[in-house]
Amino acid sequence: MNKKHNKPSITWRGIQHAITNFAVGYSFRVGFSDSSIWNIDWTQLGPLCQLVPFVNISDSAMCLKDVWEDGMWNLQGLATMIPTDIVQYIHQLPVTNNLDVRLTDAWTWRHAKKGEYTCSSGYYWLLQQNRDWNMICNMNWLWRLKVPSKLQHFLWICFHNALPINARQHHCNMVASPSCTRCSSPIEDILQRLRDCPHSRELWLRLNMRRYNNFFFEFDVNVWLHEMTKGTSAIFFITGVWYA
Amino acid sequence: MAKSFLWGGDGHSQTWNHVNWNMVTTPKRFGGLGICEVRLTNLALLGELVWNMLHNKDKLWVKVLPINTWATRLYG
Repeated sequence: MNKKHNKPSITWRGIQHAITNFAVGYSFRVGFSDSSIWNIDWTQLGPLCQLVPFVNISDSAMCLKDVWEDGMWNLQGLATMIPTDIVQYIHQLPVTNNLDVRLTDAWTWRHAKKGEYTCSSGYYWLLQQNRDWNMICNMNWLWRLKVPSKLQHFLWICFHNALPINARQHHCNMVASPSCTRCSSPIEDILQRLRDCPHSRELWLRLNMRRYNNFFFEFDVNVWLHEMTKGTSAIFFITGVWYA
Repeated sequence: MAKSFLWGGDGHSQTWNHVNWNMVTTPKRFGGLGICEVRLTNLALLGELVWNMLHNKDKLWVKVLPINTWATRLYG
Protein backbone atom coordinates (compact mmCIF):
# COMPACT_ATOMS: atom_id res chain seq x y z
CA MET A 1 0.00 0.00 0.00
CA ASN A 2 1.25 3.45 -0.81
CA LYS A 3 2.61 5.00 2.35
CA LYS A 4 1.35 8.41 1.43
CA HIS A 5 -2.20 7.40 2.21
CA ASN A 6 -1.35 6.67 5.83
CA LYS A 7 -0.62 10.29 6.47
CA PRO A 8 -3.59 12.14 7.95
CA SER A 9 -4.96 15.11 6.05
CA ILE A 10 -3.85 18.61 6.89
CA THR A 11 -7.26 19.42 8.32
CA TRP A 12 -7.23 16.46 10.63
CA ARG A 13 -3.68 17.14 11.75
CA GLY A 14 -4.76 20.70 12.46
CA ILE A 15 -7.63 19.51 14.61
CA GLN A 16 -5.37 17.12 16.50
CA HIS A 17 -2.94 19.93 17.09
CA ALA A 18 -5.79 22.09 18.36
CA ILE A 19 -6.99 19.35 20.71
CA THR A 20 -3.59 19.01 22.35
CA ASN A 21 -3.36 22.78 22.67
CA PHE A 22 -6.81 23.45 24.01
CA ALA A 23 -7.34 20.40 26.19
CA VAL A 24 -5.88 22.08 29.28
CA GLY A 25 -8.50 24.79 28.96
CA TYR A 26 -11.41 22.37 29.13
CA SER A 27 -12.94 20.83 32.18
CA PHE A 28 -16.06 18.87 32.89
CA ARG A 29 -18.64 20.71 34.91
CA VAL A 30 -20.89 18.82 37.23
CA GLY A 31 -23.97 20.95 37.34
CA PHE A 32 -27.40 20.54 38.77
CA SER A 33 -29.06 18.71 35.92
CA ASP A 34 -30.25 15.12 36.19
CA SER A 35 -28.13 13.59 33.48
CA SER A 36 -27.66 9.89 33.87
CA ILE A 37 -24.18 8.47 34.30
CA TRP A 38 -24.96 5.64 31.94
CA ASN A 39 -26.77 7.06 28.98
CA ILE A 40 -24.95 10.20 27.99
CA ASP A 41 -21.44 10.41 26.65
CA TRP A 42 -19.93 12.58 29.35
CA THR A 43 -16.51 10.91 29.43
CA GLN A 44 -16.04 11.27 25.66
CA LEU A 45 -15.49 7.49 25.59
CA GLY A 46 -19.05 6.83 24.59
CA PRO A 47 -22.00 6.23 26.91
CA LEU A 48 -20.81 4.41 30.01
CA CYS A 49 -23.52 1.74 29.72
CA GLN A 50 -21.76 0.43 26.61
CA LEU A 51 -18.45 0.13 28.43
CA VAL A 52 -19.58 -1.94 31.38
CA PRO A 53 -20.76 -5.56 31.17
CA PHE A 54 -24.13 -4.66 32.66
CA VAL A 55 -25.64 -1.90 34.73
CA ASN A 56 -26.86 -3.02 38.13
CA ILE A 57 -30.54 -2.29 38.48
CA SER A 58 -30.02 -0.33 41.68
CA ASP A 59 -27.69 2.08 39.85
CA SER A 60 -29.81 2.69 36.80
CA ALA A 61 -31.28 5.93 38.09
CA MET A 62 -27.94 7.39 39.19
CA CYS A 63 -27.16 10.94 38.10
CA LEU A 64 -23.76 12.54 37.78
CA LYS A 65 -24.35 14.81 40.73
CA ASP A 66 -24.99 11.74 42.90
CA VAL A 67 -21.56 10.20 42.31
CA TRP A 68 -19.68 13.47 42.65
CA GLU A 69 -19.12 14.01 46.37
CA ASP A 70 -16.88 16.54 48.07
CA GLY A 71 -14.73 17.15 45.02
CA MET A 72 -14.23 13.44 44.30
CA TRP A 73 -15.86 10.78 42.15
CA ASN A 74 -17.39 8.22 44.45
CA LEU A 75 -17.53 5.27 42.08
CA GLN A 76 -17.01 2.65 44.79
CA GLY A 77 -20.51 3.26 45.99
CA LEU A 78 -21.93 1.87 42.77
CA ALA A 79 -23.04 -1.71 42.59
CA THR A 80 -22.07 -1.91 38.92
CA MET A 81 -18.58 -3.19 38.03
CA ILE A 82 -16.71 -0.54 36.05
CA PRO A 83 -13.43 -1.67 34.43
CA THR A 84 -10.43 -0.29 36.33
CA ASP A 85 -8.89 1.50 33.36
CA ILE A 86 -12.10 3.44 32.88
CA VAL A 87 -12.26 4.28 36.58
CA GLN A 88 -8.70 5.54 36.36
CA TYR A 89 -9.56 7.57 33.30
CA ILE A 90 -12.55 9.13 35.01
CA HIS A 91 -10.48 10.08 38.03
CA GLN A 92 -8.06 12.06 35.93
CA LEU A 93 -10.70 14.10 34.12
CA PRO A 94 -10.48 17.76 35.04
CA VAL A 95 -13.68 18.66 36.82
CA THR A 96 -15.17 21.89 37.99
CA ASN A 97 -18.02 21.70 40.37
CA ASN A 98 -20.76 24.23 40.27
CA LEU A 99 -24.05 23.25 41.78
CA ASP A 100 -25.83 26.25 40.38
CA VAL A 101 -29.41 25.37 39.59
CA ARG A 102 -29.22 26.87 36.13
CA LEU A 103 -26.07 25.04 35.02
CA THR A 104 -26.05 21.69 33.31
CA ASP A 105 -23.48 18.92 33.23
CA ALA A 106 -21.23 19.69 30.32
CA TRP A 107 -17.72 20.12 29.08
CA THR A 108 -16.82 23.74 29.54
CA TRP A 109 -14.15 26.08 28.31
CA ARG A 110 -12.63 27.52 31.46
CA HIS A 111 -11.36 30.76 30.00
CA ALA A 112 -14.63 32.32 28.96
CA LYS A 113 -17.17 33.72 31.35
CA LYS A 114 -20.01 31.48 30.24
CA GLY A 115 -17.84 28.44 29.79
CA GLU A 116 -18.57 28.41 26.08
CA TYR A 117 -15.69 28.45 23.67
CA THR A 118 -15.51 31.42 21.36
CA CYS A 119 -12.78 32.15 18.89
CA SER A 120 -11.85 35.39 20.58
CA SER A 121 -11.59 33.86 24.03
CA GLY A 122 -9.46 31.06 22.61
CA TYR A 123 -7.27 33.52 20.78
CA TYR A 124 -6.65 35.70 23.82
CA TRP A 125 -5.98 32.68 25.93
CA LEU A 126 -3.39 31.45 23.44
CA LEU A 127 -1.87 34.89 23.25
CA GLN A 128 -1.58 35.10 27.00
CA GLN A 129 0.29 31.82 27.01
CA ASN A 130 3.24 33.27 25.19
CA ARG A 131 3.23 36.90 26.23
CA ASP A 132 4.39 38.64 29.30
CA TRP A 133 2.18 41.68 29.38
CA ASN A 134 3.08 44.69 31.35
CA MET A 135 -0.30 45.61 32.78
CA ILE A 136 0.87 49.06 33.83
CA CYS A 137 1.27 50.06 30.23
CA ASN A 138 -2.37 50.83 29.66
CA MET A 139 -2.76 52.57 26.33
CA ASN A 140 -6.51 52.82 26.06
CA TRP A 141 -6.33 56.58 26.44
CA LEU A 142 -4.34 56.78 23.23
CA TRP A 143 -6.96 55.00 21.13
CA ARG A 144 -9.75 57.01 22.72
CA LEU A 145 -8.30 60.32 21.60
CA LYS A 146 -10.47 62.03 19.05
CA VAL A 147 -7.77 62.62 16.47
CA PRO A 148 -7.07 61.16 13.04
CA SER A 149 -5.70 57.63 13.07
CA LYS A 150 -2.44 58.61 11.47
CA LEU A 151 -1.73 60.84 14.45
CA GLN A 152 -2.65 58.09 16.88
CA HIS A 153 -0.34 55.75 15.09
CA PHE A 154 2.38 58.36 15.12
CA LEU A 155 2.02 58.79 18.88
CA TRP A 156 2.12 55.04 19.31
CA ILE A 157 5.41 54.94 17.44
CA CYS A 158 6.78 57.74 19.62
CA PHE A 159 5.80 55.79 22.69
CA HIS A 160 7.70 52.75 21.59
CA ASN A 161 10.74 54.83 20.81
CA ALA A 162 10.54 53.76 17.20
CA LEU A 163 10.88 57.02 15.32
CA PRO A 164 13.73 56.83 12.83
CA ILE A 165 15.63 59.63 14.51
CA ASN A 166 19.37 59.89 14.38
CA ALA A 167 20.09 58.89 17.97
CA ARG A 168 18.37 55.57 17.40
CA GLN A 169 19.70 55.07 13.93
CA HIS A 170 23.18 55.76 15.19
CA HIS A 171 22.64 53.21 17.94
CA CYS A 172 21.83 50.64 15.25
CA ASN A 173 24.86 51.70 13.21
CA MET A 174 22.73 53.03 10.41
CA VAL A 175 24.05 56.58 10.31
CA ALA A 176 27.46 57.95 11.11
CA SER A 177 26.55 60.54 13.69
CA PRO A 178 23.72 60.92 16.22
CA SER A 179 23.57 64.67 15.79
CA CYS A 180 20.56 66.61 14.56
CA THR A 181 20.53 67.46 10.89
CA ARG A 182 18.48 70.62 11.36
CA CYS A 183 20.40 72.28 14.14
CA SER A 184 23.77 71.83 15.75
CA SER A 185 22.52 69.78 18.69
CA PRO A 186 24.90 66.88 19.31
CA ILE A 187 22.21 64.26 19.90
CA GLU A 188 18.90 64.02 18.06
CA ASP A 189 16.52 62.11 20.32
CA ILE A 190 12.74 62.20 20.35
CA LEU A 191 12.33 65.11 22.75
CA GLN A 192 15.01 67.11 21.05
CA ARG A 193 13.48 66.47 17.67
CA LEU A 194 9.88 67.16 18.65
CA ARG A 195 10.36 69.93 21.17
CA ASP A 196 13.79 71.35 21.77
CA CYS A 197 15.05 71.78 18.25
CA PRO A 198 14.85 75.52 17.37
CA HIS A 199 12.46 74.82 14.50
CA SER A 200 10.09 72.82 16.68
CA ARG A 201 10.41 75.26 19.53
CA GLU A 202 9.28 78.08 17.32
CA LEU A 203 6.15 76.14 16.44
CA TRP A 204 5.37 75.41 20.07
CA LEU A 205 5.87 79.06 21.04
CA ARG A 206 3.47 80.14 18.31
CA LEU A 207 0.93 77.65 19.61
CA ASN A 208 1.45 79.27 23.00
CA MET A 209 2.31 76.02 24.71
CA ARG A 210 4.26 77.86 27.40
CA ARG A 211 1.06 78.17 29.37
CA TYR A 212 1.50 74.54 30.44
CA ASN A 213 3.83 74.34 33.40
CA ASN A 214 6.11 71.56 32.43
CA PHE A 215 5.93 71.82 28.71
CA PHE A 216 9.59 72.61 28.20
CA PHE A 217 10.86 70.96 31.38
CA GLU A 218 9.57 67.41 31.31
CA PHE A 219 12.36 65.02 30.41
CA ASP A 220 10.54 61.73 30.02
CA VAL A 221 9.08 61.42 26.55
CA ASN A 222 6.24 59.13 27.53
CA VAL A 223 5.17 61.28 30.46
CA TRP A 224 5.42 64.37 28.31
CA LEU A 225 3.25 62.93 25.54
CA HIS A 226 0.70 61.55 27.96
CA GLU A 227 0.39 64.70 30.05
CA MET A 228 -0.02 66.96 27.06
CA THR A 229 -2.71 64.85 25.44
CA LYS A 230 -4.91 65.06 28.52
CA GLY A 231 -5.89 68.71 28.23
CA THR A 232 -8.52 70.33 26.10
CA SER A 233 -5.96 71.38 23.53
CA ALA A 234 -4.82 67.83 22.91
CA ILE A 235 -5.66 68.12 19.25
CA PHE A 236 -3.39 71.15 18.92
CA PHE A 237 -0.66 69.33 20.71
CA ILE A 238 -0.85 66.17 18.64
CA THR A 239 -1.10 67.98 15.37
CA GLY A 240 1.85 70.05 16.58
CA VAL A 241 3.83 66.92 17.27
CA TRP A 242 3.05 65.71 13.78
CA TYR A 243 4.37 68.85 12.14
CA ALA A 244 7.21 69.60 14.53
CA MET B 1 2.15 40.65 4.69
CA ALA B 2 0.92 42.52 7.74
CA LYS B 3 4.50 43.45 8.41
CA SER B 4 5.07 45.09 5.05
CA PHE B 5 1.75 46.88 5.39
CA LEU B 6 2.86 48.38 8.68
CA TRP B 7 6.42 49.31 7.90
CA GLY B 8 6.35 49.62 4.13
CA GLY B 9 8.19 47.52 1.60
CA ASP B 10 7.02 45.25 -1.18
CA GLY B 11 7.75 41.88 0.42
CA HIS B 12 11.04 41.44 -1.44
CA SER B 13 13.26 44.20 -0.18
CA GLN B 14 14.29 44.36 3.42
CA THR B 15 12.74 47.07 5.57
CA TRP B 16 13.38 48.19 9.06
CA ASN B 17 10.92 46.91 11.65
CA HIS B 18 10.87 49.52 14.36
CA VAL B 19 8.89 47.69 16.99
CA ASN B 20 9.07 44.08 18.13
CA TRP B 21 6.42 41.97 16.39
CA ASN B 22 5.33 40.62 19.77
CA MET B 23 4.52 44.18 20.77
CA VAL B 24 2.60 44.86 17.57
CA THR B 25 0.35 41.86 18.12
CA THR B 26 -0.33 42.70 21.75
CA PRO B 27 -3.91 43.87 22.29
CA LYS B 28 -4.40 47.60 22.21
CA ARG B 29 -5.28 47.85 25.86
CA PHE B 30 -1.83 46.56 26.81
CA GLY B 31 0.00 48.99 24.60
CA GLY B 32 0.21 47.06 21.37
CA LEU B 33 -1.49 47.57 18.05
CA GLY B 34 -3.86 44.64 18.40
CA ILE B 35 -2.93 43.05 15.09
CA CYS B 36 -3.80 39.37 14.88
CA GLU B 37 -1.08 36.80 15.17
CA VAL B 38 -1.98 34.65 12.18
CA ARG B 39 -0.70 31.35 13.54
CA LEU B 40 -2.65 31.72 16.75
CA THR B 41 -5.76 32.91 14.91
CA ASN B 42 -5.70 29.73 12.88
CA LEU B 43 -5.37 27.69 16.04
CA ALA B 44 -8.20 29.57 17.70
CA LEU B 45 -10.46 28.83 14.74
CA LEU B 46 -9.49 25.17 14.91
CA GLY B 47 -10.41 25.38 18.57
CA GLU B 48 -13.95 26.06 17.46
CA LEU B 49 -13.93 22.64 15.81
CA VAL B 50 -12.72 21.08 19.04
CA TRP B 51 -15.66 22.67 20.81
CA ASN B 52 -17.97 21.27 18.14
CA MET B 53 -16.43 17.87 18.64
CA LEU B 54 -17.44 17.95 22.28
CA HIS B 55 -20.80 19.60 21.96
CA ASN B 56 -22.36 19.12 18.57
CA LYS B 57 -22.28 15.38 18.25
CA ASP B 58 -24.88 15.31 15.53
CA LYS B 59 -22.61 17.05 13.04
CA LEU B 60 -21.64 14.68 10.29
CA TRP B 61 -17.90 15.13 10.54
CA VAL B 62 -18.05 14.52 14.29
CA LYS B 63 -20.03 11.32 13.72
CA VAL B 64 -17.32 10.09 11.38
CA LEU B 65 -14.67 10.34 14.08
CA PRO B 66 -13.86 7.35 16.25
CA ILE B 67 -15.81 7.75 19.43
CA ASN B 68 -12.93 8.25 21.84
CA THR B 69 -10.84 10.64 19.76
CA TRP B 70 -10.73 13.24 22.50
CA ALA B 71 -9.81 10.73 25.18
CA THR B 72 -7.07 8.91 23.28
CA ARG B 73 -5.53 12.14 22.18
CA LEU B 74 -5.22 13.35 25.76
CA TYR B 75 -4.88 10.39 28.04
CA GLY B 76 -4.42 7.44 25.74
